[in-house]
Amino acid sequence: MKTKDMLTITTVALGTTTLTVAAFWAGPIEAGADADTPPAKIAKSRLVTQGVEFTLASAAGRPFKTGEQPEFELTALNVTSQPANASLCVIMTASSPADALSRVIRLPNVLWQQEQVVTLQPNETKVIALRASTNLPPNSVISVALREPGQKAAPFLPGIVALSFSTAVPKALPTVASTR
Amino acid sequence: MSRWQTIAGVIIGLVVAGGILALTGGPERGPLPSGPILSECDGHLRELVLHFASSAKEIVAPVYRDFLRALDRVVGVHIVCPDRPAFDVFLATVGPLKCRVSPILAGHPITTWSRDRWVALAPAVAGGATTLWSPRGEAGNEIWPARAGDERVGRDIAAALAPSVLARRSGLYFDGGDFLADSDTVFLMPRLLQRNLQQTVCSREEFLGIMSRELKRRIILLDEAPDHHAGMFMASVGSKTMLVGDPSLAREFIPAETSRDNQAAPNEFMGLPVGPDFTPQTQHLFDAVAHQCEAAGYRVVRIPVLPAHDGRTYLTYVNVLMDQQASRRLVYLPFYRGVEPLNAAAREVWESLGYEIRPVDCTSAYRHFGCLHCLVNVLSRS
Repeated sequence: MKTKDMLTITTVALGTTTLTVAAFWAGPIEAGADADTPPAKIAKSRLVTQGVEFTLASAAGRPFKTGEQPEFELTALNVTSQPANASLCVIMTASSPADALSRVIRLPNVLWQQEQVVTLQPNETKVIALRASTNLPPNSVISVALREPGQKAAPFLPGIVALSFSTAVPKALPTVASTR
Repeated sequence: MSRWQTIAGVIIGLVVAGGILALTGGPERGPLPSGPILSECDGHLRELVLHFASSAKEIVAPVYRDFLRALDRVVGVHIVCPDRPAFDVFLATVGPLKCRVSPILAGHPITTWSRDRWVALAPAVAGGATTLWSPRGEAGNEIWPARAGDERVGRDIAAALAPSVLARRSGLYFDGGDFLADSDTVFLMPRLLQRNLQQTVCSREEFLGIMSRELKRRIILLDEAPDHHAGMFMASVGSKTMLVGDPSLAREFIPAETSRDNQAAPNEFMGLPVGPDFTPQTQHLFDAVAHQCEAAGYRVVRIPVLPAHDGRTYLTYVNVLMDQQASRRLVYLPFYRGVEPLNAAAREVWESLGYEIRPVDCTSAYRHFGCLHCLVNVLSRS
């Protein structure tokens, strides 16, 4: 093998190594970068009780606003091959920051709750319209939970959070000049 | 350039590149392995993280002054600040210190509560990196701009302290204060499951499996507890002993007119919203924690803790930092001006457990739903 051949092989090998390593390393090389991305959240929360699967959605299909009395659609599906009779409690709570310096937001207040009983044939689905008889407060994080009646009282054990939304007007994060 | 030399060069290049990627782990690697969650009561404090925002100066100044001045010179303290002027305010506020302090400038707003932003997972091997495990998101970040900034702090710290510190974001929602860890067990608060069930996990079993894999300790999920962070009402103090708050023990130190359960009007005792909470329901929650700890094999010792009716404001004596220096055990213990007999009673309990007390004035902080332990996060212990 001639010197020229060796030089060619070495040059090509070096170029290939550099390109390959650079291609595989491009991107996540930043020091301290998160090593993983959180998996997707569960798209629709479900509470299964007494053989019935309950889900809840906004009737309007859009975010709620301050002052509105929200309307919901409660869907009940009998997942068994037997007739089913199930009851649950829908409970809406609101929390707001005590002040901007506090460690945590306040304990949630119960805004509205309703018990619902459904009777379903095997594999039957029913959609029930619910209207909360209260106006949504401003600047609050609102949660709508489903729980079995008889569970410990809210707000400590809110059951499954079926919907969560905020009535705050989103603020842009103020920028701070960094001298780093 | 002839063909066979080019092909040979490409093959050699690919082999060498494959070797480099294999040796370094390559970019396709999953999360780097981490060790168990740090114990809160074992080992000598080595590196701490505090937040400082000038807007919270009045809350934290007395706490930081007492605490930092009592630290030994071997302890390193990283101060996360929004910017350099904030760090300068911090230095002027705390004055001369024996411990080493260094700034981490985030470049965005933050709250002053360091504890909840991440939990430290020890290195998987000696000399390895500490992992900061951050939650998937912060509660209330939609209406609280500094909380949106808090979401980024784990990454800010890792960027500043790489390669000895890594950041990893969890798929779960949590606050660091939802965990209480010692060298054997991690206690999880009920609210942790509530925040994640049918949001990030399908079942309780899935949730516990993730916690067990990530934290690498025995996991105990409390079924009942006050709806607050663990450090407000319980502290593991070593040797399988758990200190659990007890409102009934605080009652004898409170003026009778402010401690009636059926009091109709709000009172202003120590600024506790709607007064001290001595209701049977609240007492039951504290007692339930004690019973669950006993069932888990712990010796339980009770200590006075005074919760307010808002469920958030506590005069607590378990919101502490513990340090173990060989056989010597130290506790940085909060006290509150205006309730000296209560402070003394709590101090006696800690002394009976063999702890040397380093008092920290937390009078300015407790009305904001947190205390010393909530303000200080521990990055490493020896």
